[in-house]
Amino acid sequence: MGIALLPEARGKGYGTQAHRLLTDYLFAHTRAHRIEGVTEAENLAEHRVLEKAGFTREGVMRGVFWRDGAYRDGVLYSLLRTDPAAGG
Amino acid sequence: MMAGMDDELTLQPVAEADLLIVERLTQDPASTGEFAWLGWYKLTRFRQWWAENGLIGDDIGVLMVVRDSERLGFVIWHKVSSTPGCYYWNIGIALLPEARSKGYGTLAQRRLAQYLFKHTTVQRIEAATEVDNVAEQRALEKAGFTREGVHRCTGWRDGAYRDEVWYSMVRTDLPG
Repeated sequence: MGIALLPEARGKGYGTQAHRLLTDYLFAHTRAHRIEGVTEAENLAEHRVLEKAGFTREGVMRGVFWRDGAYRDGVLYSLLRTDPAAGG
Repeated sequence: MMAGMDDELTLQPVAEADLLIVERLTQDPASTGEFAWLGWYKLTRFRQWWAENGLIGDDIGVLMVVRDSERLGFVIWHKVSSTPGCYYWNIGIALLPEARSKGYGTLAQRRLAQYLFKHTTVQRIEAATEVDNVAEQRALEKAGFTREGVHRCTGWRDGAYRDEVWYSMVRTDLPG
């Protein structure tokens, strides 16, 4: 999963709420066991949001993205149906 | 590792007769090993891909692991897309039961990484294996891959979700 908020909507906690709504929705309406999110290693705001939404940091995926003229590392997070934050 | 062993191991395109080995290593539970028996699935797919492009396509490729003229198994890679215009390879290996535990997996995966970095522009090559598949973890580490972390429940095998260890090699890891 991923998210994009308008500039004026950032930094207010909406991202965390939106992640929770989406993971609740997906676990309710699909049989997926795992939901993952990957963000750039330097996108600390999104790391915080994913952690607050109950995701677990699994590792750094080196050189996984190309953006703005350079390869970028990604950080992978996951939420399992059985995790406490998913009500498991 | 025996001296000179590295020189004897090559990767070669799949010949028609090799398809029997590829099928045995993906469809015969007695030959796949514990971690690669995932049920029967599209049994004719390797033959179809072979008829189309010799198992060397834009998104997926297979090469035989050969020592002298003996077939030891195969290596496989497939494309993973990330950002627009950016992709990398995910690789895997299957060796015949009698070819395991001899260091061939390490050599073959190192050879494949060298081949893919040489002939494609990717920055990253990744490989994943189950947390209990210690032999493959050792092989990847000896081949020069770096352990990145454990991805939870990314595999389904034999009635249960399985955690997998992720490894990568990036172009700048290569010596010289």
